[in-house]
Amino acid sequence: MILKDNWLGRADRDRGRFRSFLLKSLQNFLINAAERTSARKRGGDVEFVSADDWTAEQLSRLSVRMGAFEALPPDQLFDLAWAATVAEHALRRLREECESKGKLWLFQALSPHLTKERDELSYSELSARLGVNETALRKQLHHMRQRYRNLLRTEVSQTVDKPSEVDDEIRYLCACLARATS
Amino acid sequence: MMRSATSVHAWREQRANFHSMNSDSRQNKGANVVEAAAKCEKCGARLLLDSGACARCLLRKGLEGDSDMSAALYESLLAEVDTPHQSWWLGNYQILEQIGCGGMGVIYRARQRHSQRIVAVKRVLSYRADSPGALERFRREAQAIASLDHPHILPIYEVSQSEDGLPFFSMKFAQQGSLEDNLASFRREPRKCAQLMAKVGRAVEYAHSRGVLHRDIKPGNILLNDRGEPLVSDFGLAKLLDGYHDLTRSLTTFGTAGYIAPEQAEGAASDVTPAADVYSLGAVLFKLLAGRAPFLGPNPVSIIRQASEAPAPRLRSLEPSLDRDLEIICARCLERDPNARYQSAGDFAEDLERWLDGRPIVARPISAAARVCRWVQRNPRLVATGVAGLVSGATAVSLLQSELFRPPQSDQAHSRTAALPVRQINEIKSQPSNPAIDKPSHRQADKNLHKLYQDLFTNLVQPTEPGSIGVKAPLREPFLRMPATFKEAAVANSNSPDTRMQVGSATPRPGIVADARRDALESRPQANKITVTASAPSANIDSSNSARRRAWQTGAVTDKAADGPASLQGLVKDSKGEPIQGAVVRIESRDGRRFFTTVRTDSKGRYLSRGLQPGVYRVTLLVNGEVKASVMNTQTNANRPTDLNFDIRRISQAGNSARGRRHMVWVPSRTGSHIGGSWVEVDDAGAAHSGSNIQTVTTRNW
Repeated sequence: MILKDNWLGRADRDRGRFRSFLLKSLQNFLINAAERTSARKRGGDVEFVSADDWTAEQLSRLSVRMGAFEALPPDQLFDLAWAATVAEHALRRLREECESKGKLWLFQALSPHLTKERDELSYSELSARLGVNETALRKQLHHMRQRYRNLLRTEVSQTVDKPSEVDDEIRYLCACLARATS
Repeated sequence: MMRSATSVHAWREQRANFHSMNSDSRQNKGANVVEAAAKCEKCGARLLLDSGACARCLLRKGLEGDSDMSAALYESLLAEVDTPHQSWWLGNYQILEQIGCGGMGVIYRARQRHSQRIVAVKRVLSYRADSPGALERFRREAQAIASLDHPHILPIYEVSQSEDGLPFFSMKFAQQGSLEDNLASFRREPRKCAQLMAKVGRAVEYAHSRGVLHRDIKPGNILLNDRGEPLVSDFGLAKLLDGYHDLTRSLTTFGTAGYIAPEQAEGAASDVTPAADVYSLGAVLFKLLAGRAPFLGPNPVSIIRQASEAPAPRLRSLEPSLDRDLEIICARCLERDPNARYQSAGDFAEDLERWLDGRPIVARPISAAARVCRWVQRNPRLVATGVAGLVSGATAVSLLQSELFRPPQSDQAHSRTAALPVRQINEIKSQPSNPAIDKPSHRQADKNLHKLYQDLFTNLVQPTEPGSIGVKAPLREPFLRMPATFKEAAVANSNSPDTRMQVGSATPRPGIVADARRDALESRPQANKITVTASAPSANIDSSNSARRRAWQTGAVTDKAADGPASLQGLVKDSKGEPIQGAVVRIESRDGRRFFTTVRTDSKGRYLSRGLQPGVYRVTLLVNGEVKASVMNTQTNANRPTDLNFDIRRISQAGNSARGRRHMVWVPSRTGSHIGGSWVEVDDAGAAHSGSNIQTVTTRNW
């Protein structure tokens, strides 16, 4: 659907956040879908776009708490999926960058520890397992975190109007995730 | 925001719709959100990504620290750490280095475990692996290549799967890299280029014969082995001709701008035929010979647009020293009409081989004199034994040929054919081909027909007073008998089946006759006319109320509550009023620089583009890849469909339909090289009305 109508091309950077644009578009889509369904009853000419096609464009899969799924309103669910997509998209770009330099092994070894604090991680164990110098490993994890931060902010910056809104948007997405788990 | 009881109810309904629509995807397809009891050890959130990472913790990383790390810097830092002893293996292959990265896969140079031979290993990009079609396309590529066994097609050794479940395959390693890397060694070596491309053409012909279309032939996909022999590779976009394996979604363009055929860029995947690969072969040959691709532009869209709207530049305009036959071979491949190209990649290869042997090429039967010259070149010994006799013979043959086979005067031929009504042309085109006609001349006839079509849609225009009703194109010699007013002309010729003059209730401005006559003399006789009918339902209270109500239902009422999607719809019909199926309606920005969407007409000639941002667009109609009309300033409105119909008709029909019904008539005008005009609404009595939402129309190389 997105490719067919070049729908993303209609997003106007000056008119707000891309996430809001998507949410509004989804709402419009649902309304239109409902109208189409009723039009079909009247024998109208119907062009129905499968929701599967739409969801297929999404990249990430998100696990939520048992029971929370049904309780969440669709727009919150959308925000959740959005937040997860942003986080994962940045992660995949990081993976690609590593792979393109022949360092997929490094990504696979270090990416599970991206969010860990220093005291939560045993560098010596990791170093022994990988056969890489511990200092080098520390440095690489630090670099990887920095790069991930950069990629994540780049991802988010593409969906907001001004660079100054990036922090707000990330906080908003974090809040969405927190709300869903509460 | 407060919502009324009704809107809350409606909102719940929408939510129920959302849930019911997504239920299948949740159960069967691996939806975006799934239920699970997994929990982040750090923050306790039960929101884990597929990889097991906590989305919330990852997002928080974006708020920590303030140092920036560019991709280049990170890559250099990555290079600091050595790959440990336990080197990276993909199945039985030790990965040595990355040698390429395409849209879908990454390619490594690798060593096979037991044989120790060096191979190329291609695996799908991890990022792309999530796209539903990517894995299938990757598998299809392996399947496509595995079914091909040709000395100039890169052979595949093994298809396998890595530990992380992603497929990969190994293939022959091409020592010299791709043709793209070796372009310099082919510059100013036309024979070498022709030899190489003839082999590539034969390989592509073989693939076609096995039911595989390549669809992405370009220098980067032609590899060279250690002896410099070409190996066609990267069947990542290959389409199996059985029609069941095509995953390419319609209206999605794949391929490489500059090398893909216009119909491949514009059309549905099902429209792509072997002729698209022939186009790409010609584009590669062009690049080898001229040092640049046929079309250049700042971005892929602009390149694709040029390829679909303008003829390819002449090869010798860039490299005058090249042989004219090579120019003809390239031009033949780069024809915009697939039917005007070589019928197969084999024909292309054969013509190159003919050229290499000094024989006449098929694309252009050469003159008798030139034929003799070539024969002389091929048979120098015979020439030495009988120079005098041969030369006189050649002269005689040349004279005889030129006398017997002299083509009719082009002007006469043109005026005769241009006067044919469209119906007759259609009949000619639909006639079964005559097997008695030899191939080249048959193709030439096809080409002429194609040209004729183009000419027929070229409108000759002259200025009229603003607001008057349109006056349309003259033909042949009408102005020699030009009456005082157009109205008289219309009446005078109204009984003639061969009417050339049309409509007209307004007296033209002084000087218009002279202008028109000059135009008629300067231009070739041309005949056709496109009538566009346009209407947008006037705004009414109900519809805007409805928009507001719907906005309420979404709980998102703002100042722009009535802003909703606009849509554009209409019919495209030919001269007989028959619907044209598969015509492309392109919706662009007014300046034509941005391209929003493309829709195709269905079997009833209908098209529909929903969900447009309300605003003003340029709408361009293409039939068989040819631009027929471009309607500037098409206003679309929120929540209301705008009708825009295209009627391709002969002038007389256009005039009648304009008068008979309440239609739009084009009032043409010319400003410099820009042909434009304005649209005026005409009612049953032939009186003009204003209020049209279309102001001008431009025609581009009709």
